[in-house]
Amino acid sequence: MNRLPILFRALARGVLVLSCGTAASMAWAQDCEVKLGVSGPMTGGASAWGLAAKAAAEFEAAYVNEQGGLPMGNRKCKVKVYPFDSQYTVAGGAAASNYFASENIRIVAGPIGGPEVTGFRPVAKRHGQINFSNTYMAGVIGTEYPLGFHALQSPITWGPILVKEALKRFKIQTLMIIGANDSGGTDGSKQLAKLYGEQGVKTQEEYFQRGTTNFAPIAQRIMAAKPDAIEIATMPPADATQLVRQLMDAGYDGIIGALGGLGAPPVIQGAGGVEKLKAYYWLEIVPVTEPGVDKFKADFERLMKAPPPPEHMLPHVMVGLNGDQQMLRAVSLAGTDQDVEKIAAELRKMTPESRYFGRGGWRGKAIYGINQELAFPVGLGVIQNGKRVGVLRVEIPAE
Amino acid sequence: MSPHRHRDFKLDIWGVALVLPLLLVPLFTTSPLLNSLTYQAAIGVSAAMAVYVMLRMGLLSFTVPAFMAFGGYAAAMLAKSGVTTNLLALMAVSFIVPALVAIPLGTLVLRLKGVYFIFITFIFNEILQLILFETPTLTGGSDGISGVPPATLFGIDLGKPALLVVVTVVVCIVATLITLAVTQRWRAEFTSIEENETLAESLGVAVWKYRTIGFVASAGVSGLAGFSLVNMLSTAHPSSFASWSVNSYIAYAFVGGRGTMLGIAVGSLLLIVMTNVFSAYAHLSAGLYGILLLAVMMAAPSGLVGGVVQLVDKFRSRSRPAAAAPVQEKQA
Amino acid sequence: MDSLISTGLIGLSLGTQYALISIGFTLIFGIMGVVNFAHGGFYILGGYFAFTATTALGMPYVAAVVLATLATAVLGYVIEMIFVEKYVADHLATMLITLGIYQIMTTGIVLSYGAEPAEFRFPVAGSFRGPGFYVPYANLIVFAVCAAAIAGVYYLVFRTRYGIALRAMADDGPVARAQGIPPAKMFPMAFAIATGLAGLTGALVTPILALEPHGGESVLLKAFIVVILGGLGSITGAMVAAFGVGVIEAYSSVYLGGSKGALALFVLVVLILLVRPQGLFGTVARKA
Repeated sequence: MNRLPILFRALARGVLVLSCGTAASMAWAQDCEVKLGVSGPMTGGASAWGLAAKAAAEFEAAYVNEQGGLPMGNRKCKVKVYPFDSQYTVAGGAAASNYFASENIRIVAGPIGGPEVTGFRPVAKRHGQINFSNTYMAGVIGTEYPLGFHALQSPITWGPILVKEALKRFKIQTLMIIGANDSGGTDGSKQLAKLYGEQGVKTQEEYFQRGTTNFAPIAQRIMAAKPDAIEIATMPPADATQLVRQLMDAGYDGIIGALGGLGAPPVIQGAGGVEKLKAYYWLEIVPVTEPGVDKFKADFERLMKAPPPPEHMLPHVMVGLNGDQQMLRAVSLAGTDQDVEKIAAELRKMTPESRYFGRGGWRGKAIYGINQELAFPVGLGVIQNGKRVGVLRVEIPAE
Repeated sequence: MSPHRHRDFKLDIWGVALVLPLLLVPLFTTSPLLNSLTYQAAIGVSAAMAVYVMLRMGLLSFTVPAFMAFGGYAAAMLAKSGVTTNLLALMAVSFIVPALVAIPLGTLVLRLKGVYFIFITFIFNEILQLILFETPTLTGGSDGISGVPPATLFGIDLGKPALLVVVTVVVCIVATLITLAVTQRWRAEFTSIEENETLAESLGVAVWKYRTIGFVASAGVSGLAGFSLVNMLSTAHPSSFASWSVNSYIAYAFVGGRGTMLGIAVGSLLLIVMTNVFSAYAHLSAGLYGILLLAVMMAAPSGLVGGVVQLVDKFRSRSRPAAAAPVQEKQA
Repeated sequence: MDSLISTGLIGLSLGTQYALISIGFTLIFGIMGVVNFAHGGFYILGGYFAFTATTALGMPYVAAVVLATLATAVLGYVIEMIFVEKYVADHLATMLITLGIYQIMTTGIVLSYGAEPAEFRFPVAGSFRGPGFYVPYANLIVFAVCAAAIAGVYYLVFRTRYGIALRAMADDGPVARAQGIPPAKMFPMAFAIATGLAGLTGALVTPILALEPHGGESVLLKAFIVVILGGLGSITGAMVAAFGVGVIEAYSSVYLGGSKGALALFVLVVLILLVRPQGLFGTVARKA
């Protein structure tokens, strides 16, 4: 029968691919390897964040390997990074966890996006995988997922403090919160609306079509509404730069706030320089004026033989590093990269420590019911009347 | 179109047969990779079958993700409401809701031809995504509906990981059988519309009726695929039904061979495996996928199965040069 | 009202950008029946070529734009000859082929320039401010170039022998071939003109908006909307539809908000097409 060749060919192809993969991973295991997975969007619009997480993991692996490897008992094991593109979708997150499970990877940096975490964690729970995610989504960690950790804090944590500080400096009675019409936009925007609202600010959420490149209509809408301030924290950096640029074209002279992952560089770039900004305040997810940041840049250049990540991606890479360092340290203390309960126990026991920021803490019990969110200091940056006022270091209390 | 109706039917049957062994995977192995590939393949084949139904009429429909969303969300709402989580009920709902939507939509949209049709169906996806976003109380908005309870079957909980995969394969088999039934029952009518619509009309074929049948069937099959996805992930999320995902389903159909169901199955299995392989290469994955698409489409424009069939035909005609052309069966 | 005027001006500048990007798309479509999924890729490549020319090669902006236009035209010619020519008759296959090419382009850009947006600025900054409205100078310049480009294309298509041949091929391929018009020579040139126009648009518009690897996707969708609404293959239709879409988009975004505005725009487009399925200027008889 000549139908069989077709059938066999299709099946053979699948088997060939799978067996090659299995053989390859078996060969590595014999050389004492610690496997670190990275899950995030590496293609598409959000790829900058996924690639930042990948860069962080690769840097950390390079750093540890430069010292001969990760100490595991009385030997040192090489750290190898396994990236997976989870495409900012629920299905992608689930596929990532299955992929990691097939490669016996039990520690994962990421996922980065809310939908990815939604898809990832039920599967990861079954397979037994520890992860440090970056998303702002509500309920990102919880008692239902004991192996899930949070590498940074959501607006709900530092929001009250930072909003209060901002309101001390700037008079804001009406606020327009701008975000894209997807979960990346709504996760942060909804929390921010609540936080500002609790401190007496009248807020309005404005969502734009994701993929917008020309923000002139949105800028015009803002100009017509005349709010005291706009919040652009959840916007992707390129979009934020474009919006600010076109707002300046339109003659906007109000306050700009970014209490989220955006940072300063995109807005400064959009305005055309610090001197053009009348009032801007933003969250530094890691305080970038710390000496540790310069040390990181130097290490990065030395190890990766490439320029350090651009200014606005630097905090995202360093946040990823925080999570990676704790996971690897826990693996080293536990003496295994496979026994997740042991590794998780070490994580919960230890005081989180960053090579670049010193000691931090764990928190999260009050909000999430589980103390598995990293507490490292953040910063509030302020530019007023065209001048940098400075970065206020804000300690995040451990619990 | 080829006169090899009998052979095409056999190839269609082989398409169904190719999917059946997927049932064995979750029952005989706990390998996460194989199980992941299996459920992805099951869902992908179901969606590609929906594309296939329309292709039989020469229409390329971009509505598949939108109807998947209708089916998936409908099933999710039903399961979460507590009324029932019965697998058969959920499957029925996920087939019927998109099919019902397709009837009025079809009367509006099926008048369009060629690229206009493609375009309207694509815009329909975009509109649905926006509606999902603007209706958070009903659909969960950008967060979707999570924590959807898994389907059950008369008391048996199908929530265990292996059984979830089994459910997707079962849904896939049902979707494939429905596709087979529809495309075989009305094969002649669909073919006549594909080849020459005006001629078909003049011969008395009520083109609008069969187009609607195909459109509704395609919608229902898409809905089943959507339910399969939602059940597997326990989440109905807008990102699962993005407009651009239709490119994948279309690619499965074309790379495998759009002429037969075997082509659909082969294309889906191959591309899903390759996509997973490429995902491990992170940022290169889109480019690798593009190269694969180019290579296959240029080497075999009628797809892998179509290309093989053509080669076999060539061999046959070489070894039997004096054979008369087969008599064409005509259906009134 | 200030806002009405400002919004109208924004709509016109949007329309200009859409017009430029759509002429090429409708040209390929109308003449070859090919849906070029890589059109957005040529747009963004035009931007990157101009960017490289100004930064790495230190060329003045105008020269960079010209270079980018030529480069994308040549690239389009080559791609058509190698990948598209053989499959022109199979419209569905060409869609997938151009889709594959687009993916390769995007990955190539990410590998060469990184995933981050490039800092590519329009050489002229500032806006012309009137009572209650403003127009950035950059938009005025783009408008002028667009007008020139449209005039050029009209001249080419309606006044030159080459253009007449193209329209003959679009109207009735087999008859045109019987008359001796060689599709194998016409198609690559037509493709090159179209991709060159896309590259020109990219070189002009990305410094005003944003230059990043995925910038081509939304451009493709807009081009698609404009071309379909205008009527496939009709350059006049594309022009009218481009400005129509630009103005509608501006008003709906400003007065309804970005997300609801997009919904309103899409629904309106669908309604128009349901009433007039061949597009505003399309002809009914042609099976697209």
